Amino acid sequence: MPNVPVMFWSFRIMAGIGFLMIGLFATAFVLCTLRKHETRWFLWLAVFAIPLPWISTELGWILAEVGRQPWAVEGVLPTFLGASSLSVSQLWATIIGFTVLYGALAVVEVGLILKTIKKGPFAEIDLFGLDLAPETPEPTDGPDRPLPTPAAA
Amino acid sequence: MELPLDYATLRLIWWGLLGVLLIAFALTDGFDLGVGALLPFVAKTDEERRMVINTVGATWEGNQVWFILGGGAIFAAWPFVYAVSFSGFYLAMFLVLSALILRPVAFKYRSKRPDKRWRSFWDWALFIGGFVPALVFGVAVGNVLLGAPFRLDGDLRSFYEGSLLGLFTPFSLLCGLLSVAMLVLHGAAWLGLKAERGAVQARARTYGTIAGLASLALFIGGGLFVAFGDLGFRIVSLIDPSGMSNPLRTAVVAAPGAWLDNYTTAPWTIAAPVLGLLGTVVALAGLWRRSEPMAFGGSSLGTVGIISTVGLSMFPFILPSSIDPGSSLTVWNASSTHLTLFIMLGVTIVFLPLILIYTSWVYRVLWGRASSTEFKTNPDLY
Repeated sequence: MPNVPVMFWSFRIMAGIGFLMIGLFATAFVLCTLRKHETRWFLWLAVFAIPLPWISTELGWILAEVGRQPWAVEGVLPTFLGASSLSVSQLWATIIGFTVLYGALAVVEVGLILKTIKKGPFAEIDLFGLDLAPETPEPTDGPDRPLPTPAAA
Repeated sequence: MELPLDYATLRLIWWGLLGVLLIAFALTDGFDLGVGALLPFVAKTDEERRMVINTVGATWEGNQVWFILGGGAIFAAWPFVYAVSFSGFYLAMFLVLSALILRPVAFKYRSKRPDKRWRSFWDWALFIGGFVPALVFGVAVGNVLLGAPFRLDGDLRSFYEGSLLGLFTPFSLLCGLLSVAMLVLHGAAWLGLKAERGAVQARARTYGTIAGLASLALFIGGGLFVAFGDLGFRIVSLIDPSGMSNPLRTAVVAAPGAWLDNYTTAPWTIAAPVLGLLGTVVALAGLWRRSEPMAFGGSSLGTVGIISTVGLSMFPFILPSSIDPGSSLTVWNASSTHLTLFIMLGVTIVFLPLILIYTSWVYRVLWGRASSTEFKTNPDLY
């Protein structure tokens, strides 16, 4: 029998985040339609929502993996028979290897993200060392203004 | 339920599809791996490098679909092969994946900062991301020809008794270098078609010629190894092409030279190695005569020939075992069930043409040479 509280909560938090995201995007849609995409409380909400899909995915993974024990395939293949014959040192090698690789890439990524944020919106034009001013009119609040997505803003 | 195709035919079709997917991977992702491996050598200035990167910029990602499909097809159609090879070649897979993980980030990060060292770092990451997978895929094919050190127990669980370094033998290294040479030639031919005319193209022609000559020499060397070396396996029991998938029911012996058997029993198969040689020669002639379509057509045919040679030489083996030949996996004993193969074929008949259609459409839309100035004004380019 799998651990019931773990199953109970991981499922509810996962599904809860799912509905929350539907709500978040519905709100984003409404605010953008009303040209109120710079509403501060919503922008803050969007920032705090960044890790939620990841948390939800991980909980879904835990739900599936813990919930199906002791079976790899229900009623057919028990987990202990389904495991490969890899050695512990091989598994450590790849766990450490992937962690170091992805960790290093994450540091680079965050650095680039911070740099981009510091430049502010519409800075991609500077990034390419261009002067697009003649073609790009100054952003106005008129209806023709390109809408930044909540994440980009 | 009576299925309209019998089990043996479906197994043969799925063996063919596995080859089609591997060849499609080598033909499409092959040239961008080759371009990655060539990048630091054919392009010296930052403008040149960005131009070279943009020759594959729009398509490298889509090309990897064939890699995923190949893995998926092995998983769905040849579960024994999947289990044995993905666990057995575990650390080699890790090596390939690490190099392939570096590739997309290198493409996307490289031009985000003007710093010289930053750009040079990612250029070398692209080199590693092209060279290492090309080498390891070839080494893996070499090990498939040599037989992998695995055995199956009575419950058909696979136990692998090799090591990462054990994969690198003289023959498998030869196959690895052949794979690098073949894909570098293909990449150089691609640069001929897609790179701006000028210094880069001239360098690509030089490196392509070296790679093409190396490819010929290594392919012939591989053939000599297969003919006179200590590799090859033969089935010595009766084969039931429609029997249940159980590798332990086939009796197999190691038989040096047996990889040439098919060329006697089915002489038409000689077309594959001939195509491998002829295609590479045509590619070299194309490079020499500065006919870009001829060079690319030649390198493509050569790639088809070289990969088909491996498949046809080994048929019906897919993955023989070097330490316990009786565990060897063949077309007739390592597939999924009759019904699975049939359903998967239906799915493939619908989706494979779709992939082919959208891929050719993308290539058509994006046809034309990369330029060494366009990326300054087009923020969609790398």
